[in-house]
Amino acid sequence: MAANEKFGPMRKGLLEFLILKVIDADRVYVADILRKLAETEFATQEGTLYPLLSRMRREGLVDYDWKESEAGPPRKYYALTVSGQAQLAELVAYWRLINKTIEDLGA
Amino acid sequence: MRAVNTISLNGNAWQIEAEGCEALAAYLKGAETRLTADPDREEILADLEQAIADKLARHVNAHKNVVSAAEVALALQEMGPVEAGTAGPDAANSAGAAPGAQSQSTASPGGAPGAAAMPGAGAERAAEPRHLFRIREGGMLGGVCNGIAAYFGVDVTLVRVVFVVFSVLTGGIGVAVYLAMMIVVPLAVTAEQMAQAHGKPFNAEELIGRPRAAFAAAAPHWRQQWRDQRRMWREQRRQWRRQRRGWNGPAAVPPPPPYGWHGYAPPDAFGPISGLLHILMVFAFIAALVGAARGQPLLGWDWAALVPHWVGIVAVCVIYGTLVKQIHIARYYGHVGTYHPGHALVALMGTVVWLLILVSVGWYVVHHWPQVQDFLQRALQAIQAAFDDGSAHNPVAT
Repeated sequence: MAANEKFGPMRKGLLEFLILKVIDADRVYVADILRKLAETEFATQEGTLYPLLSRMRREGLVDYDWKESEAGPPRKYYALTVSGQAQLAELVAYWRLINKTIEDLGA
Repeated sequence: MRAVNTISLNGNAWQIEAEGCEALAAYLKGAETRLTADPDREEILADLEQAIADKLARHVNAHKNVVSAAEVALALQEMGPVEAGTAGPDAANSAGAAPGAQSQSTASPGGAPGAAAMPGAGAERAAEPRHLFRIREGGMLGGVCNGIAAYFGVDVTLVRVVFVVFSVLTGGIGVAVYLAMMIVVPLAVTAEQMAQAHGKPFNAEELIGRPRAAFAAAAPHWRQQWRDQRRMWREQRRQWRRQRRGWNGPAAVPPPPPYGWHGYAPPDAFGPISGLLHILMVFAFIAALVGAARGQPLLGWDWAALVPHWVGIVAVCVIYGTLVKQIHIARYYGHVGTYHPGHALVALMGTVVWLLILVSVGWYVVHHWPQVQDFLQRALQAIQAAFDDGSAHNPVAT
């Protein structure tokens, strides 16, 4: 199995973490999230994002409210809930730990 | 003619070609099946339908209200496969195809996620063929240079400078070409035309392939023209030779110099001087051109503060062209042997009048830019109307 074949599952596991970060930074709707991720390794499509956001909402990590848009129908704007922010902080801390471990082991 | 079905996407009616409808129905059916276990299935499906509708909205306008099958396919490609968003490591394994597809698409920057990143033109750029349009937005006169720049994917200033230099070197042919293109090349009006004007991203193969094909098609025509031109020159030379030998009688009047005469003059008294003068002028021209491009003051006069640099470049080219024409005229009369200062004076007067007209037109254009643009616009419309009428009444003549 080539290295880049292993990147896929890694990215998939990290996608939720990144979405939490994007939503934490700003009030966003789905097209904003897609745009931000498209510039990165984590380019994602609607077909993946909508079901994922729906599950994260069920888990109580994010919530949305409807906002009128200047063109077209109202949009769902997403924000982190309190437990979402807590989980993001935990994930960030864990990510730092992993990074440190990788650096230290290599040395 | 194609069958069109009307369907509803998240509560709004859409008219879509029958084939596109089938693809859309299959996509939504697949999404429904994959989300069977999802408690929020209805809501996710509504979101997906709305997202598709937003993508399709890019392809309809006041003049086009049916979405084609290809446009539906493009939208669905941008949407990507629907994956159940179930949690846990099992989900990552069960959706085995998904990570592979994702890594593949991120590896190719022109792929679907890249297109989804730019909901405006990105996807259309990849799919639409390129067409030459005039683009009014950001254009100066008729948007010709702007359209050419978009077509070749280069900076518009570069195209403008090339056009101006070409016009000066060819003695105004560039201006005629510009006016012709203003009439012939259509203006990009709709968003779709705008996307076509930019076309797909620049690609070297096409850059070489297209002109080559065009050249192959036009080459016989050019060769014929070149042969005709040479025959004409030969004829002219023969005539001059006859006149010098006095075949037309001793009182033969030299023919008036052809406009913009650039012929080769055999060495005579004036030859070396004019040659030297010409070389000096070329050096002065290059120095002045560099100075104008950098906006350096001329004899202590800071012209760059008053007019843009390109005006300086054009002025240098015009002055150079006019002076060189003087040398050519003098050389011509020296060649045919009847040169006397009166000819040069008349020619100089013509040049002064020509320069005065140019300067006053330039001054007017700079100070009354909106009116000039408006006038050109109207003139263009009038010409286009006449052009359309003419071709409609007399199709053979076109």
